[in-house]
Formats: sequence, C-alpha cells, structure tokens
Amino acid sequence: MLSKRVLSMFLVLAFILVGIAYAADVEVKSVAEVEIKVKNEKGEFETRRIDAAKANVGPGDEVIFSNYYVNNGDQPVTDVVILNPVPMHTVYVDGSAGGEFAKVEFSVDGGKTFGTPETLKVKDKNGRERIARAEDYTHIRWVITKPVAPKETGVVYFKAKIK
Amino acid sequence: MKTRSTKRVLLALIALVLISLPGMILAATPPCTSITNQATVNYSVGGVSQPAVNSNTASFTVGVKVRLVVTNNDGANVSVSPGTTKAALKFTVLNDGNATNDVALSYVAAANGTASPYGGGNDSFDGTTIAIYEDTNSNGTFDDGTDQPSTTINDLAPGSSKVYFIVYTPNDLTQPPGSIAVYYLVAQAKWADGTNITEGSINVTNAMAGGTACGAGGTTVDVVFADDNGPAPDANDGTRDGKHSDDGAYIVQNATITVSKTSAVYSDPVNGTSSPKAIPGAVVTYTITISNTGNADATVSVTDSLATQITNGYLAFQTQFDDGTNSCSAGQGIVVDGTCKTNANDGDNADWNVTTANTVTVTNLTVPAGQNKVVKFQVVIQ
Repeated sequence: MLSKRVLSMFLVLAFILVGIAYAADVEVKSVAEVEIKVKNEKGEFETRRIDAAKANVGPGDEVIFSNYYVNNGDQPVTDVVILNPVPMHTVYVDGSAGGEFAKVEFSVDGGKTFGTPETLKVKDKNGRERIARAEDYTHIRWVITKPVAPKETGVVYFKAKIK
Repeated sequence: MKTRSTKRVLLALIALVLISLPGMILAATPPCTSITNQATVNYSVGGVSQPAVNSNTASFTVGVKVRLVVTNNDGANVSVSPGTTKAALKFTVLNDGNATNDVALSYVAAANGTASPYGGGNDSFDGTTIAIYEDTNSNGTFDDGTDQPSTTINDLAPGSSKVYFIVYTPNDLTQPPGSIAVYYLVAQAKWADGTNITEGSINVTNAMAGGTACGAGGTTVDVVFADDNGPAPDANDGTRDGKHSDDGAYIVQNATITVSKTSAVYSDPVNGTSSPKAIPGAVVTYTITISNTGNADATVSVTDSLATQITNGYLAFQTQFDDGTNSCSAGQGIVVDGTCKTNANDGDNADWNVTTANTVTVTNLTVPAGQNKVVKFQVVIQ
C-alpha cells in the first residue's frame, strides 16, 4: 500500500492534471470501484479494487463509491460538507458509509433534511411510521468535523448495491 | 432425501419472507443502463460560505446477468400405476437475470441408481413415452388435452416464471411396485431473438436483451452467466454455463398378490376337537391367505374348486362353518375376512356351488397395500 504522504502528493498531482475550469479551493474527485478476488504469485486469493467501468457489474453487485477531497487554497477551509445522492438503480449498503473526521448523515426526503439512521422515519403503506431502512435513503452526507488545512486531503466513501 | 426436502422448504420460506417484506424484491436493473455518481461539496473560507463545487461524474454501464432457476414443485414422488394415462412432474422456470431470455427446455433420464430427491429409493427404469408440456392454461396443474407439448419459452422477462411438465405416458407398466424413475428438466438461456448467449464483452442489442436500454444498434457490455450448478449431470448442466436444472421422480404404484392355502383338521367323530385325526367324518378347515406386498390396494376374486375330490367321493362341503373362532349360522359355509357368508349367491360376494359347480367363489375382496385377507371354509372327509 502507498504511504499516506505519497498518496496525498499523487492526489494533488491528479487534481492539477484534471484541469478544473476555475480555481476552487476545494475539489472533489468521485471514483466508482468494485472488489475482485485475484490469485497472487503465491496462489493465495487477494482482494483488489478496480474501476467499475473496467469490471463486469451486474444486478446484485456491490460498488464502492469514494469521494477524494483536497484543499487547494492557501487558507484552511471549514464547515466542509460533502453531499452524495444515492445513485439511481442502486441501494445504499447499510453501515458502509465512512471517512476520517466525518460525521455521516442520511436523508429520506430527497435531501431536504438529514439525520443519523435511528432518527429517520418513513411511513409504510398503511400510513404507520417506522424507522427508515437503507433502501429508503435518498442522500448521504459527510460533515467534516475539523478544518481542512491547505494541501490537506481526505476521502469519504460508501457502498451501494446494483438493483 | 430429507436434506434436500429441508433445503427446499427453507428456500421456499426465505423466498416467502422476501416477497412479503414491502419493497424488498427489486426489479433487476436492465442491461446497458448507465450508473452515474456525482458528489457536491460546500465549505467556508474565513467564515464566509463559498459556492458549492461539484465532483466529476463517475460512471459505468450495467452488464447482462444471465441466470435461470429451475425448481421442481412436486414435493414427493409422483405415482404412476397400471391405470395411469399420463403422469406429470411439475417444474417452475424462473428468469432471475436482468435480460429477457428465450429458454430451450430438454429432459434427461437419470442414470440407474440415482437417488430420488424425495427419498423412497433409486432410479431403476426409464419411462416408455416422455415429453415436455407447457402449462398452456397457466393453472399450475397438468390438464391432459389442454396443455400442449412445448420445448421453448419465448421472451421470458426478468423476474418472470412459467410452469412446465415432464409427462410420462405409460405403455405397459411391468416394473415392481416402488420402482422409481428420476428425470431432470434442463433449461438453457438464449437471447430474446433466439440466438445463443456467450460470455464476454458483447455488443448487446434491444432484440437480444429485450427492453430499450441497449439501443437497436446495441451497446458493448459484459455478459455473465450467473447460474448455479443444478442436479443434472455436468454434461447437461454445470455452474455458470447458462443452464439450470432440477429433478423429479415417478414411483410405480402397484399391488403384488400372493395366495397361500393351508389345511388343519378341526374335529373328528372319535376325538372331537382334541388332537383330531384325518379319518372319515373329520372336519378339515381350509385357510386361504391373500397377501398384498405391493404399494397399491387391490380388489381380488378367489376361487377354489373341490370338484375332483367331490366327484371322487373323498370330500363333502361343510355347509355350516365352525372352527371355534368363527361360528356361522346354517347355510353359511364361507368366512371372508372374519365375516360369515351364505353359500347362496345372494349379493354378499361369496357363494358355494352357485357361480361354479363344486367351487368356492369369493369376489370384490379388497386387500389394502401391505395387508393380508383370509378366506376360510370347511370340508368333511367321506
């Protein structure tokens, strides 16, 4: 595995090369991957991640979505909130969202309001309220709980299953 | 075998639970559907809220998942007996993939010795005339004359299932009762336009997959066989080969009748019933035992002719039966299954010397599977 420093240097380079139209301080790169098992030289099975576009992805498969962020400015940024609608044709995989220094919240009302899982309620077909389940989530957001220093990078992620 | 039946019940229960939870069964995403993801970040600099920034759009295309599931629905071996016209094994063929498939159906007769999935024994014969029929009127049961022979399912949509039967028309059922014939129904997935499916990176068109997501000209996507290995031999159905199968079995129901006859001296004029001897005047009890060692009930007729012995003057028929166990009234010389019967042909299914001269005739005697019935009468030594 690459060391964190090498990884952040690589990401900064990647962001520069991508060539954003305007110099926003914060940039986010979204990546979709799947896990595959491959045999290494010793004949043991290893788990590797590859770009979902290069893999066979079909109904029932899980995709890992990662959002890499970086502060390209020369000032610290605060109140960083990353918002990700659950992609169409997928279902959020319960418990899969995370990220360092990130507080994870979900929406079940199309992104109007957010909360932690136990606070989210939906109505069943009989009009009775129940606690929302993963398949009810419409959006995910990560509230980064500390300032992000200049040049600092981070990643937030979640998994979704193809319907 | 018990393990298989338990597994089937468990799978059925799981399926039932999944179906009954609202929103749990999700229609599979059509092939060629593009999945896209984009994140948005909000932040502040120096306490001042900044314009939101969007990420790139990460995208990929959903491929074709080919997965048929064949399930036998009989729950037990299906009986076939000498009177059977047609016996049917019932199967459900489900398209559990995300493209519309045509399905080619075939049957395979299991090798001798193959265990029935429902216990009771192993395969020991092949049926004479076997064919696959569709459930034409979609009522879940085989209706001879209404349901038609068919070996192709046209355009089975994702999530849909259809019922098919393997039908046996017995010609001359000579196998012993309990004989078993095991059959597999094998389903092979094809594209909706009837062509063969191969795995790999394929240009898939609407005509092949059904639906509209791939376009008339097609989109190149990955095609994957995701079926399980069914119980049919691997040459007919393996893992991830676009085919699936399940097994059912016929069991022969028939009666096997054997008859045995014994005699015992009941009394003689000198000793009475204590150690009686076979001397003139002795009463001899004949006991005829009819055994059914098969697995189907039988209704039999029994006749016993005393013509020769009577004509030669050796024996006379005892017209009133009494062996100490059954004591009958005058004119009742026959005991059938513990009941005294008249010698006259008067509708009690037994007579002496009426239907046939000097012959005991018993008719309409039902001998259930696995049981014995006894007919008794007595003669007097002349």
